[in-house]
Amino acid sequence: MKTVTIYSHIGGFLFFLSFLTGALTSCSGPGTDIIQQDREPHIQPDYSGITIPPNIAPLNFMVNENGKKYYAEIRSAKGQTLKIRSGKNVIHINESKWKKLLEGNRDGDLLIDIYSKSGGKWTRYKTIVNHIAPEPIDSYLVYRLFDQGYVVWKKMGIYQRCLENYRVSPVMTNDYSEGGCMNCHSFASNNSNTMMLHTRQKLPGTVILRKGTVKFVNTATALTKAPGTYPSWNPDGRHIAFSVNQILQVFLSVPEHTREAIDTLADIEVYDTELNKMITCASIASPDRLETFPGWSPDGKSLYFCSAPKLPPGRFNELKYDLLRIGFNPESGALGKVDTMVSASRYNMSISLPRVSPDGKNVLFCMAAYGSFPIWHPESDLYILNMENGKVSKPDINSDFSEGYHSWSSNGRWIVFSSKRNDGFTTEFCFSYFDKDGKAHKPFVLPQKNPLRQKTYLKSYNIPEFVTSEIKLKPKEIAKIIRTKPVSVTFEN
Amino acid sequence: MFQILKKHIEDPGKYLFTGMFFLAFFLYFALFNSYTLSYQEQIQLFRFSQDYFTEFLNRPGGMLSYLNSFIVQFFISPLAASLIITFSGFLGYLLSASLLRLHNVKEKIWPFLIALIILSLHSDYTYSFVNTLGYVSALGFTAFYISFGNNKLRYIAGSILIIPLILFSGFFAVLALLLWILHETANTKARYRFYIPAGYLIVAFLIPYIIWHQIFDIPLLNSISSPLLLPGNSISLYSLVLLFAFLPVILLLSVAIPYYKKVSGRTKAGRYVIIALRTAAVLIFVILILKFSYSPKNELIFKMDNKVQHKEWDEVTGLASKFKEPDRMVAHFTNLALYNSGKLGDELFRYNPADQSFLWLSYPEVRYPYFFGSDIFYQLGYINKAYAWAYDGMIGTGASPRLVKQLSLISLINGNLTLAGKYLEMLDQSLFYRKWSAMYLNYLANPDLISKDQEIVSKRNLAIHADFNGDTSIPDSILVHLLQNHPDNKMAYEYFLSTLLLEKNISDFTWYVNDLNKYGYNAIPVHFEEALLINMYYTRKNVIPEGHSIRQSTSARFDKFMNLYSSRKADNKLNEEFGNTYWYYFYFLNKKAQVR
Repeated sequence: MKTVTIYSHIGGFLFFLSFLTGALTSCSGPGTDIIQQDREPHIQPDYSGITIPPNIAPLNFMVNENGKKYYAEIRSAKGQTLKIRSGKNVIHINESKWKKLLEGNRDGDLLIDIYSKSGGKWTRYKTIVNHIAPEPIDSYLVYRLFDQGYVVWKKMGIYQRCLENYRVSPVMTNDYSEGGCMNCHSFASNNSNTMMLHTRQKLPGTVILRKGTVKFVNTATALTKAPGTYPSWNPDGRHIAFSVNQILQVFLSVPEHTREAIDTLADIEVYDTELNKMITCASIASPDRLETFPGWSPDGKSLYFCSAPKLPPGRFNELKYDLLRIGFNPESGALGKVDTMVSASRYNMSISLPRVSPDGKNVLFCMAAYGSFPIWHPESDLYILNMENGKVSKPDINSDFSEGYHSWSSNGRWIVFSSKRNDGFTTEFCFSYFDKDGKAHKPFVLPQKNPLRQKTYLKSYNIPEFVTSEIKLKPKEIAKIIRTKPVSVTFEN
Repeated sequence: MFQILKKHIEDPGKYLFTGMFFLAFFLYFALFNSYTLSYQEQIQLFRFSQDYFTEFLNRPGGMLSYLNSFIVQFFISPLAASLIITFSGFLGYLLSASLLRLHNVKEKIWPFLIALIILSLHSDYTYSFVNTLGYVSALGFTAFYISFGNNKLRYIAGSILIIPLILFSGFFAVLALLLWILHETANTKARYRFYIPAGYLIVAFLIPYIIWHQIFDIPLLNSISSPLLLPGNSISLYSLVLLFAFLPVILLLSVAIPYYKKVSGRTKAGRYVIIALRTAAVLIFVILILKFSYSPKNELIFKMDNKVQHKEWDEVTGLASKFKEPDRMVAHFTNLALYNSGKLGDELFRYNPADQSFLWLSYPEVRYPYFFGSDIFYQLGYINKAYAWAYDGMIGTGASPRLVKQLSLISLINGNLTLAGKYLEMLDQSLFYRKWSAMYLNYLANPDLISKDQEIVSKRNLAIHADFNGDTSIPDSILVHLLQNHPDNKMAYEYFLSTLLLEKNISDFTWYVNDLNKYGYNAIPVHFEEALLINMYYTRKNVIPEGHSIRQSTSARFDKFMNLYSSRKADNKLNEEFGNTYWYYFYFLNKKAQVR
């Protein structure tokens, strides 16, 4: 039986009711006596001028224009025009009609005409023009959802959302781990059958799903400083690079910067899941440097990471991480020599979270004024390193607020990233089309069945990872395995 | 149930005791426990919104929880809260009386004891009304089920009723089913009387197992136990178990021992014995409640909190004087009230601070520190910390009106109108805070109004520009930074001097007290004088701030104190006469502090 949230059922019913109410309260569409506005309507979320995947869920939205009735027409070159009437300022789009329209118009424009009725007169706004990309987005997005407290958390879970509709199901929730924390889910090449996640505090360890079996591992050894933290699966599906961090959290006082997470120790190790062995070398585990945020190249032969000279915690605002790369032989597990890809000093900024595109041509990363926790830096933005010419560019997808964790779709045409652009406090996901010329298009936020929800929504989404198919592992199965004694890894320096 | 109610109405004289009992029940809450009840309203925010509603549907017994939140919002009025609890107690009484009558249990005391258990539970601030609601709904479903006299009809009704019962009540359906089974076992002679209850039990397990555990992936224990909320107080926990076990046990006894059917009211003497036993049982219960469940201290603390929320500072200090033992929560409220009424430097040591931790709340010494503690940082102008505590408080206890209000204001102060809009929208969806939010929602539409709001402007003027690490367990460090950012922050200044006094850091105090003139003091506050006299006693130097003098009366009292202190023979007298002074704190309390 499929695991679904109650929203799908109850929400669906309520939306059906509201749709019915809207349909009943409104008359037919606008006639010919219409006031023409020479501007686009204000809609929320901002779904205008964007490029969308042909398999994305309907982009329901609110119309922030005065009116008692609303009418929208969504059309493209081919197929039926979707006509939506609403007694409220919310436009709910029929899923199956939307799907047909998008599928039939790949690489075409999607036009949205919006009307509002106020004082007995209909107003028509300038047509919103979006584009339907030819390439689909991966069907599922895996993320963590929680209340982003300062020291307190309560409900937390890792969920998967089908991007083709609104279905959400839990991968693991802390109801199953005695309220403990969980984080850092990771997949090998967007494959939901090769994954891992950490459970923290209560029942701590790392759950690894690979080749159809699940194991529970304690990645901390007597020689390493802590258990594995930030992971990256090698595309070979055998090795996982971990950073091993000791993190200190400080609470700051200026309004624009409320807190900081500081690495007091950070090294990188590579875990061989077949031999249950952790390996490292001085180049990625130097005692006088902090190495963190590993990210593999698509051929699995290079490991990108961030590195900064170690400083006392009091000088945390001087920590600037460079982007480095080390060679790796997946056959022998041997680590090679280190190259500096981008020096932080070049920009006087600090680099974090390098992610290489599936074609290996671009590295997407964050840069902030300092430190290694971009989500708490409003100035943190996304940058792209073009591996062919070595140039670093800042795509036009950033906002005045923090842009943080990001990942690539399996076909390399879609980027998902977390951003605080909505309210500067909670994080939400934005998607951007990354075209063949290496240009990132205007991003759009994760579509929601009920766009009104965002008006009071305070939970934070983080660590978005694309996967091509649904994760079959159930919370109950993870709950069972984390109650077994974790297998300790061996360590080789 | 209706028959009993009808008899109550028809023959008021006979049921005078019942009326008196529930009048006393109501008065107990209205007069002695209203602030404890009001606190329940303060830790939730019921919203009329589809999202809020669907959050409840996501879990077993969600409808009951939703109904609970809806009702508890009316606890904003202590009178309404007392009435609601009294009505719940009365329903508990009425339904249990009805069930017992149906089972031919004539003893009248049992339903009263059930009402008393409900009263006892609601005396505890950690107890949730959802449990009472669940209990009453279980009895209600049972009364309805039993009302079908015809066996076949009842079984059909039961088979239909069981699904809404479980979906609506969640865990509390277990109690109802237990009563159904007991009823079937004890009162019917139908052929299938054992199979039908077994069927109920199977359905009762299968519904949560399949719907919540299998489909919605909720752990099995949560699927079965929701929406039961266990109280934090162990006495209440036992009382809750007693409440659930009470009726089934009585019904079992009525089956096993026919005593109750025979003894009651046979002879005149027997009747007196029964009356005496009833009275004794009620009295014992009342004594137990007063001793173990009722907490006048908690009621006073919640009253102080309420008065702080309403800025009734004199009331707060009046209540503080009722506490003889040091208490950090009380000290936190008292200090706020003293500062706001301009008496911190004069009366801080009147209220028994034990050491420097008695300045404000910090984690984790008190329950819900974030919920109660964010106010002080807001008032001090330490906006980041106020926001962090209010937000963490909201995660810990759930969205609450006061925290959401504070988060709205802070977002407006920080100029984050989108975030402010989210909080204000939450309040706008409530029944009682809509009006408050309307004014600020208007600000969002007309941002120019924000710069005309004195409260917002005054806090914006205290915005931190020189960053620092804010560890609240080191108050003097925070206060120094606040003063460095804004030397005109009078509240930070007074709290800082108070910290130095509590730490017995006389040398730094003497240094900083010289800034009194910058803050417009006409006279040196009494405790400051007392500290300066200690300094002068040891250093023989004049350290009185320029333009000020020490009152003759203070100097004379100091001489008297030192004489008594030097003689080492009158510690009790010192406490009696000088217990409210800084001198007494300095020489006799907080011995661990290192004098500087």
